[in-house]
Amino acid sequence: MKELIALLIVLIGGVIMTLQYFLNIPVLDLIYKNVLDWSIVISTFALLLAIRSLLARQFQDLKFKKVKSIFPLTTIISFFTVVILGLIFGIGEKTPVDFIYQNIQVPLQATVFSLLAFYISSAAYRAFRAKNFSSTVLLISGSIVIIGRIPLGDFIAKITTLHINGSVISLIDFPAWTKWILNVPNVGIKRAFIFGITLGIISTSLKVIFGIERGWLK
Amino acid sequence: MSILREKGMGIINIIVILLMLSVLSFVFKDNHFFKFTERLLVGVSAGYGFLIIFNAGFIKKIWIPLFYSTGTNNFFQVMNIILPCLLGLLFFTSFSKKYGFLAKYPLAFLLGTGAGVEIGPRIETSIMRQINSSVVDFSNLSLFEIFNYIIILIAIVTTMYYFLFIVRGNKKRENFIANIGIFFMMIGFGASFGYTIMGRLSLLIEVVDMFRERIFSIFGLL
Amino acid sequence: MKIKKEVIYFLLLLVIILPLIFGISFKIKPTEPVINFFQEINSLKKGSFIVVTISFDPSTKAELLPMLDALTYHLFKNDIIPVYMNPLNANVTNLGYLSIKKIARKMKKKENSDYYYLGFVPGDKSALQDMGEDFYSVYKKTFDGKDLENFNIFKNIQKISDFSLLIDLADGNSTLDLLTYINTKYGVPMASGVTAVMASEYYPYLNSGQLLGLLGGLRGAAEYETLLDMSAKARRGMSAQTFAHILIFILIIIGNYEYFKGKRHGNN
Repeated sequence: MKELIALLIVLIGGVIMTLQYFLNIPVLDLIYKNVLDWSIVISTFALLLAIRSLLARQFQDLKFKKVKSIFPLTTIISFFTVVILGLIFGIGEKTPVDFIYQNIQVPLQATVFSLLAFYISSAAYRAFRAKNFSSTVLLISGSIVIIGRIPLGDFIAKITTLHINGSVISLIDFPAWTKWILNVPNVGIKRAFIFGITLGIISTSLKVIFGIERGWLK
Repeated sequence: MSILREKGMGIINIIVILLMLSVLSFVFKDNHFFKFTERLLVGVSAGYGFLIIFNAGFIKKIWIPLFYSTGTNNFFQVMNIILPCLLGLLFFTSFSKKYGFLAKYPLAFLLGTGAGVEIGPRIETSIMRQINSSVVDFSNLSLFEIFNYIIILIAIVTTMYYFLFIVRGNKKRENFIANIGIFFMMIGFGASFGYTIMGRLSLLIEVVDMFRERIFSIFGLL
Repeated sequence: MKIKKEVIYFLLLLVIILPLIFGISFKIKPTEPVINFFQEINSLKKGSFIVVTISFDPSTKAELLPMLDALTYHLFKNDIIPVYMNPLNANVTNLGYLSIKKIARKMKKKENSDYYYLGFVPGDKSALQDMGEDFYSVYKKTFDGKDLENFNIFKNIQKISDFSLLIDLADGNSTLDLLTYINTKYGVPMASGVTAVMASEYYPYLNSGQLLGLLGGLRGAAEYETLLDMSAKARRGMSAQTFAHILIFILIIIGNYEYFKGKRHGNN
């Protein structure tokens, strides 16, 4: 019974929302509009729930001492410091929260992601090899883009330019090759992927609506 | 960044630089400095996220419309806030063993309606319009453009062939059409790889520039 | 002999630090998607009202903040009135707000008359679609808490389709979401700036004309700065980018040389 109600909500909601796009019926439009308003309010709670789960995890770590207690404590203290400061002083310009945001969150988040640059440079040396025909094609195309997107590519194209019978031809033109790769083969395969992914999304949506996919109920 | 030059920023800049270095130290080995900084970042960003969501969601979407609305609130409008709030609150029953199933109802609402609104626009954006632009009138195009369109078409068909008939059909034998698809895919992946390298390096460049700014400002060079 | 990873890391840092310290800069040649983006904004009339969605995190500010800065400069220079919002990304709120404010101060533009900042709203895709039906059921107030209904310029706005253009600066799938739920459904013309990692994914949409222009990664931002004749962060970064790309290219060649050498020895 409990499951049936949930499945009915999904079914009715899904069918109405799908039909709304294809049919021009004022009642459906009105429902659509209200459903969107509702979704915004409900999502607020979903987002707050996510933060609550994160904190619960920290308290669990603290309780069961899986890691040194200074680590979960750091998260908990920094979380509540920011929240309390924010509730008292607001979050606009020149507030303590903005100061913490600009001096901790922005630089550290950027730094965490910059680690990827080290890994990819090491990977380029170790793994990017012409082992067979396919990987050779990948290597050549990747190298063309790497050089084609920097000013050096333009420079090479310039010095290898030939003037033959009034027409200008560049022998080694990485930027032009990059442009061709991006606009022709890349568009072709990405379009095929888009078709595949979209059909996948639609079939998953239909599975959810008609209760074939029930993983979320567990 | 004028804020870096303000009074008392010297010590803050040093702390920030040390924190950033402790993150970078992860590239050699996981260590306690990194773990500490990571947890600090998680706490700060969750706190900041909470404030933004609380302000944009709870205050602006629920509290103000219910209690400080300037217009006249009719019954319908009030219910349009109260009912989704009640549904949203059900999310929090997921911590109870007895009433945990109630949390599935708001989820069902978001999932069902979300899946429903997805279908129509996706078909039009990513299938109809993409097919439309793959089929073109050749009469006004140059030979090179026609060649390019034919290549695009071949790439689409062979790539789809590879996924639909070789991968799904679980066929191992060499297949000419599928090989053409693989050839085009490798060109495309190469382009993506080149771009990925570019993007990742940009992130590091920014971080080095942030170091430069903060170090320069400590020595009053900025 | 294999190159140690520490050596690679050191070289990488070196080729990035040196150009940044010495301030080397190169000429950047703009490419077609960026020129189209630039012209699309130039074609807007003075006083046009457009939407800019900021959909990135501080983690990708390296590529997208220069775009936001250059775009803001361009819009202010052409007297176009942008409405900034970050409906899909809560964490960027202050970063976006203050970057815009800084440029506005320099160019003597006033918040809530020459530009508006609306901030975050929960709801993700639902919020996007709701803006297509009734803009004010999503945003009633600016980020600093002023009622939108008090501003004259908003009197002509009912739905998102009343804006002349939508620009998304994104590090994720938001451009596709906006194309799906706003461009297709409500017909708002769209251009976009994305990270390099995402850029190649959007070429089919450029090719089909669904996206009018595209800035891809730091290079895209640098090209845009070149078109605007400003020398800012992206162009400075591109010098380091150039040397880093050359290093990666050399590493790939050395890696392959070693691989083939090893293979030949193995065969012998």
